[in-house]
Amino acid sequence: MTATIPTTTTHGDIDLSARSFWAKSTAERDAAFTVLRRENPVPWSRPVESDLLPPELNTKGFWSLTKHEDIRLASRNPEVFSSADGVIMESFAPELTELVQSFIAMDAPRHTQLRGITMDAFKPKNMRTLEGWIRGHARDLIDEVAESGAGDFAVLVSKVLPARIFSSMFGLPPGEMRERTVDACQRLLAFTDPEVCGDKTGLEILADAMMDIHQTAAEIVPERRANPGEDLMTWLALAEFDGERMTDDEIGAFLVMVGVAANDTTRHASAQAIHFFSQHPDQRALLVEDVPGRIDGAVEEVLRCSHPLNHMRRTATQDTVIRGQEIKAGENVVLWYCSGNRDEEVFDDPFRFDILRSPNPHITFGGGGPHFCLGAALARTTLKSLLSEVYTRIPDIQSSEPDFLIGNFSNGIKRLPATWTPEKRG
Amino acid sequence: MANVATGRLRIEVNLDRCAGHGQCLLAAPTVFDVDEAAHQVIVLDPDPAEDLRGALQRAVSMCPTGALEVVG
Repeated sequence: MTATIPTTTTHGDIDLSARSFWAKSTAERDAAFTVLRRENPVPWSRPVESDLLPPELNTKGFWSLTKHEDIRLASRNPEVFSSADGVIMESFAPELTELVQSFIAMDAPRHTQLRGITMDAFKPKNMRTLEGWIRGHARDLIDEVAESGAGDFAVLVSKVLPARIFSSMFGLPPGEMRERTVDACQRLLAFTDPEVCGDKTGLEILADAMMDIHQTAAEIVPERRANPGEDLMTWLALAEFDGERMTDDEIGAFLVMVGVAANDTTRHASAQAIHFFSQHPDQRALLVEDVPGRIDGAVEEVLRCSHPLNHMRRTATQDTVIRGQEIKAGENVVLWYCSGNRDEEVFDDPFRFDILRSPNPHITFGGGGPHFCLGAALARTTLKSLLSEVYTRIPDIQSSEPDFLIGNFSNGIKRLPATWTPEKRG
Repeated sequence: MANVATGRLRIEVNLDRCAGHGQCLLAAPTVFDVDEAAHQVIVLDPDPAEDLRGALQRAVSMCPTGALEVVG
């Protein structure tokens, strides 16, 4: 990752609301955020170009936080920066927010209750127990591809590993329903990408995927209530608050949010990792020389540079001031993780991919606070397992130029053709 | 603020900030644990070897609430 900063660009030329901005290269977008951090770190933008709302309802502009420190401040002050009106910059109709975003778009106390249902399953202590099981999944998957010597890493590996782990944790049996669910989880956030949308609108893509996942919840929940298992769908089906179970819509929304978070984030980070190491043979050599000793630092640097989510949004609950900029109650505030992770005041030489970087306080999982990524430990463990297998067994894997997903939210890779020396089996 | 002597390194844990996210366990599993009841970090190894310095620094960076500090 390198960014050249055009000297002629001024912050006035940068339009974070334009679809065309998000179709630019990573380097161009990085350069724009560098200009913003330097010249206008809390800029105002017009309403984002979106087809999720009709134009007459899409009338709210937004403030942007581009500095690491400001993003952390907002993340840690949920009383001022609320999640209850939705957390992505494109506003949804309120009824759609309820069906899609679940506890990520709630404040305390309901957020605390719902997040609590599955929190135990994702806590780092459990991940230590699951590490061997996750490594086994990674090993099996690399077994399946290592001998071929070539293939689309994003499709053959990156998409598949999180899907298997998610399906197993939630107890989705192999078969049509699992495939439909995983496919919907991988498709939902692609509503901004013209290729994925084809002749459908973004709203149709999002709504179709949402309904597929709700359908899964509707099929499984009654079955798990009758025959409880050890899986997370059983936990959801049986969870009670003050003696009341969640409604079907609440469970469906929970599965949408957690399913998308599980299937459409680590996936992109792992594809980006292969891309970064292909572009930086010196860093690959460093890792390959001592995989067990350097993998933890490598995972953190991959997370910093890949930031599978570009942003999260908050809504101000009261008038407030950030970096001298007045923000009024009710206004939208977008937290740009992609920018905070390259903040020159926090990271030396921020555009250098450096697996030995220390300290590396990236905000890929959010800037702290109650919405800190529930799956952070799972993501870290999954990336560590997968990249350890790859750079031990097919260390010369080389990818060509990725096909990036176009959009303001998900920083994704759709396709990543790669070649490697086929692994020989003894 | 709990100060724990660690030979050449000293780990400072700010329990007012710690929210029990437990990412430090991943970075340095022999040094940190989470108290299940209190949902807060506990330091298992008050005297970690110098070769854990890198892991401890990672734990500091990975902490989402900025509750950890390594001094020395």
